Amino acid sequence: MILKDILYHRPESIAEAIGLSQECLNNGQRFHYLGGGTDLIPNLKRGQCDDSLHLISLGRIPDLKKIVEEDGKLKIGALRNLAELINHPLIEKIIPGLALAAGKIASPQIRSRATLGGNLLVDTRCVYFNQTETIVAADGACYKNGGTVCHLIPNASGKPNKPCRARFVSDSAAILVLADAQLEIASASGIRKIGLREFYGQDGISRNNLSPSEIVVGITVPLRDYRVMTYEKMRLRATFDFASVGIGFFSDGQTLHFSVNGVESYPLYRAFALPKTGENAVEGIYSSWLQGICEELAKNCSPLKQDLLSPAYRKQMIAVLAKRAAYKYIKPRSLNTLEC
Amino acid sequence: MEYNTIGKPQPIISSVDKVTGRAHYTDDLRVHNPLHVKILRSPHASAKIISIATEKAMALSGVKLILTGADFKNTFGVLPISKDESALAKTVVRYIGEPVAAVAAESAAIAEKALKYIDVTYECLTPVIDMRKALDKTENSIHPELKKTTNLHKAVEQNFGDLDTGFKEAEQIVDEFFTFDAVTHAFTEPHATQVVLDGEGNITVYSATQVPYYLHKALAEVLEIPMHRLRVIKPHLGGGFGGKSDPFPHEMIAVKCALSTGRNIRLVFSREEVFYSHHGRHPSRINMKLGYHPKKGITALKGDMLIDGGAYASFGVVTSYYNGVLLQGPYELKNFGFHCDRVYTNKPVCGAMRGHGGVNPRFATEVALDIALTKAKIDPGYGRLDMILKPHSLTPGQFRITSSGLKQGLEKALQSSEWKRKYGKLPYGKGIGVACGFFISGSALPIHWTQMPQSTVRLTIDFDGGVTLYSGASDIGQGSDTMLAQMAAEVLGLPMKMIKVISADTRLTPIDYGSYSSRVTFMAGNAARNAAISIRKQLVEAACEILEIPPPIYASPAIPDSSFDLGGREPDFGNPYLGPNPKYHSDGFTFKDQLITTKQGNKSLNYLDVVRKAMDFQGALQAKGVYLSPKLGGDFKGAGAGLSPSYSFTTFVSEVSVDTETGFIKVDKVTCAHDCGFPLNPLSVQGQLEGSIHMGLGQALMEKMNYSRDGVLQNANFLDYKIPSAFEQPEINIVALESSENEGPFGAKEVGEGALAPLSPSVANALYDAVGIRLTSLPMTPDKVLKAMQQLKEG
Ligand SMILES: Cc1cc2nc3c(=O)[nH]c(=O)nc-3n(C[C@H](O)[C@H](O)[C@H](O)COP(=O)(O)OP(=O)(O)OC[C@H]3O[C@@H](n4cnc5c(N)ncnc54)[C@H](O)[C@@H]3O)c2cc1C
Repeated sequence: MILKDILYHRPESIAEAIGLSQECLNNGQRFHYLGGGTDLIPNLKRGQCDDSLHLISLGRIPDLKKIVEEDGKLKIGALRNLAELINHPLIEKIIPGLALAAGKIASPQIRSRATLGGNLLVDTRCVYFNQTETIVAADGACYKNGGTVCHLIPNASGKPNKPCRARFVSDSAAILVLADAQLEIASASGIRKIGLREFYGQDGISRNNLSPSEIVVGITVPLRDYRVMTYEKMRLRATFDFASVGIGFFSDGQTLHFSVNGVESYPLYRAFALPKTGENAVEGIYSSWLQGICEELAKNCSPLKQDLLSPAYRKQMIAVLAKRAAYKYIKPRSLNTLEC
Repeated sequence: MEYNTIGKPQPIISSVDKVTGRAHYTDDLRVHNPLHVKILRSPHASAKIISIATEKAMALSGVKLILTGADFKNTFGVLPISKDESALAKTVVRYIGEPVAAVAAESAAIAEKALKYIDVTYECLTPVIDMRKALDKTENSIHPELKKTTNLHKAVEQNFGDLDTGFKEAEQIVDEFFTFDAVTHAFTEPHATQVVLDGEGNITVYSATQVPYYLHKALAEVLEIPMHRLRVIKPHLGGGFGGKSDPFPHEMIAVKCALSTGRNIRLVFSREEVFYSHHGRHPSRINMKLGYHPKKGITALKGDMLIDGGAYASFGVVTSYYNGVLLQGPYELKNFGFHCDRVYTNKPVCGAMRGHGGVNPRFATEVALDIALTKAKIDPGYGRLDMILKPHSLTPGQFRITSSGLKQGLEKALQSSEWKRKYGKLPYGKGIGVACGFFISGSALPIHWTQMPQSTVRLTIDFDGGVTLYSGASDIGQGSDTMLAQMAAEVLGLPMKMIKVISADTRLTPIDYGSYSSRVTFMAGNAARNAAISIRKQLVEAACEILEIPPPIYASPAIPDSSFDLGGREPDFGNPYLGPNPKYHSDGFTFKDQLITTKQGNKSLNYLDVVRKAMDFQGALQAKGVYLSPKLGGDFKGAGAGLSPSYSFTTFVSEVSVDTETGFIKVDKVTCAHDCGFPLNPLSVQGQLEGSIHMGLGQALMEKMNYSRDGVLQNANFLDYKIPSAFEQPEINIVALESSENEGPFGAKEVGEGALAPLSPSVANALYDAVGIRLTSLPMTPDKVLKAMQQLKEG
């Protein structure tokens, strides 16, 4: 699909950007904020886009590009691109797990354009949604494409609330929910903050609680010890691919935090307090306990046929990858005793 | 023998232009003020077209023409026996993505918009998606014109020897069933066609095609224009792999639009359209039964194939035969048979793809053989050595095996990969596996029956001594222009830079059937060499005149090797004067570094002086060289399929690591021994092998056209159709072979296709060595691996 009739804006401040979007809203015109465009532009290209459209680029707004350590927090501007995050000393120092996850997103070329904000807001994906017009016409448009059916869960068709199970795929979100990061969001009425864990809803269409003219300014990560943190990303091809299953893992010494990406319509987050056995809270964790929580994590997820790999397999892999992530840091002391 | 340019790495001509963006592909050409053409495609896998209303679309400003099926009288197809396709669907649509209407407009955006204003009323029919269902009786077959009661397109069968006795002799009988998903070529450059008209009624067609001459012919027939008014030019081409070797609907549409509007035309595909255009590897279901005896080798081999052709015929009849006939090597066989059913289904058309027809059955055979050998407790590497076809022999279907470096190749590959130290001895999760294969080095039969030589090349030298070589062969990125230049450079002792190759332009270049069946190096290469030799003769005459010595007496052209067992038949090598390897070295001169020196080395002349002398009284030097293959094969039904003047042979040894928790296979290293005869250009041999391994790996591990039950292709893009990345590419260890093919140009055979097929079975066999499972379906995705491992555990 050829994109045409695009009105391109390059505001230089947050206020100016919000002003532009408010104007579009008032005039009933379509608009999108533009980060790196690596998600938005392909989606627009295959969409119905006959009427004119405003693209409001955020790339020229200095306030969106900070990376600073301040007030006991790490603050990362939404417009920082992923390649920059991977190599940034502050991120390396404070939360290397974010650099690791960012480095597994898409491909080097895309990472040089793709922004962190865009990644946190990346649209959910589905074999029936991310399709061309010919294929949408062949299948019949699904809820997320403006239709009245769900091809993935046929008995979900014809429902007034249009339930959608398109997959959440942001690899950086899978790490940032573990760190309980907060989003800073600007709107005409000022700045609000919201925890990433609360930000995402459960539905593949509504996705999150950002309203149309709001701008994600950045995220703040509380300063803690994030060394025991990792991200396991499974995909058929080792690069240039979304997660079939992604598992984030973080241990603060008291609690094991897990996230699951690429399966549900949101980054599923679960925390499991380490069982207290004897003097040392860490010692004496039985591998069967770990096995148990990994299986429970998998039980919380219901993969659907949205990938070349079978749903049953992906479900099985949730537990396998979670265990693998945890075992990177937790070493068995004896046959069934573990130690962080 | 000391050569000038051949046998030495030569960078591919125009590689610098390609990597710097200077090379113009069809899409890059800027034709003057063209109309842009977009195609409306069917959203239904099977439906009747009740009506097409184009008025609203026509009314849009900028829309100049809308074509529908009614505008095309004649059907076409690459094989003259199965012309079942219309440029635009007429009364029914047969797959999702089939062209239904075409709009020509002043801009691509207008054309695209107009597609939405075309109203097509369909009456949906029940599609046939599963190839097994295609054999069911039906009253609504996909091609009613064939008047068949099922959707069977073609059934082929051949049997040699006595299968029953063969199986009775066997100690091990393996009877396994294999399935293969559809895979596509995934070349970089999407299809594109541009048409330029002049005021005299001449039509020049620039098209991304592997077969300019077949396209030329098809356009003339379908659109009923005399061939001499048409000129087809293939610009730089970004990969073909068989996916550009048919005449296509969009090419007919583009030219028709030009004729109807009198305007130049530009038509460029999106990636999605490339997927619909497809013509890739047939998905297949293969039952392979193999009898093995430790002393006698393969005592019987019987293949039963069902292959899914999609909606139209394309190369299907050839594919069906190749599925069977390419089983008669590389092992000795007496009792051998196959049956192959090709069916129509409501999916994009399948056709030729690298390793045409031979790839899936090769997987089945190599895995079955591996099972037999391991059951018989025979080393599957060294065990294969005893069974391979000998040089100078005939196969059951009378393929003439001239040279074969397979024995040497297999031995060297096993050695170089340290097979003995590794096989059966690596830790759990690591494994090593082997597979062999063979392939035609050019189909001896042209698609359209003719007695013409398979290839003709013209050479001219003008006053500056520069050589222009005209060949109809299509350089599709494989480097055939470079190979042709090497032929002339070698024979004439000139640097590569002095040879300019003009290729694949039906007005300027003599007929060559195109780039398919790995025929170009062998056939066009021989023709180019013969043309260069003919020029050399003229130069030698002139040199003799200058030196005032008598002209040489030439040794007669070498009659191809007649030493092998022809089973009592008379050898027939066609016209030896057109044949290979005239002995130009008996002319008494050495041509080197632009010097022409007598063999004794006492007298040396400057090349340019000799050229000028030769031009006295006659002007520019010209010569023609041709290649005509010897007469080959038997006279039973289908005997022509797979006949080739020579065959290439391949061994792969793959080493894998399996993640035993996730089932992911990582191919760590591939050792490759490919017998391409004498490697004319080691650099491009290496490139072809690396490419074959990469492509083979895709089908082995991840590539699959993902059709829904309704025939919707769910991954018509490169994000979801997964070709491997550089991460998946294994370490490659290419083993050098000393091999030469008497009839090949300077001893060369093919390297483009044969080296693909044995890759996936070598990986499957390594998987067995690693974790003890046999996967019988491609791609070997981790979910299948893990499932099989669990089943093995549970017994
Ligand atoms: C081939 C390919 C592979 C990919 N692989 C992956 C992958 O493995 N993992 C993954 O997570 N993603 C992947 N992506 C998706 C995408 O590239 C990334 O998610 C990327 O980080 C998106 O960032 P962007 O800046 O390009 O977003 P954009 O496309 O610019 O924006 C995405 C959305 O967010 C909105 N937006 C952007 N910034 C702001 C802001 N500051 N405030 C408010 N709204 C905003 C836009 O309006 C849009 O709706 C892939 C994409 C492609 C094309």
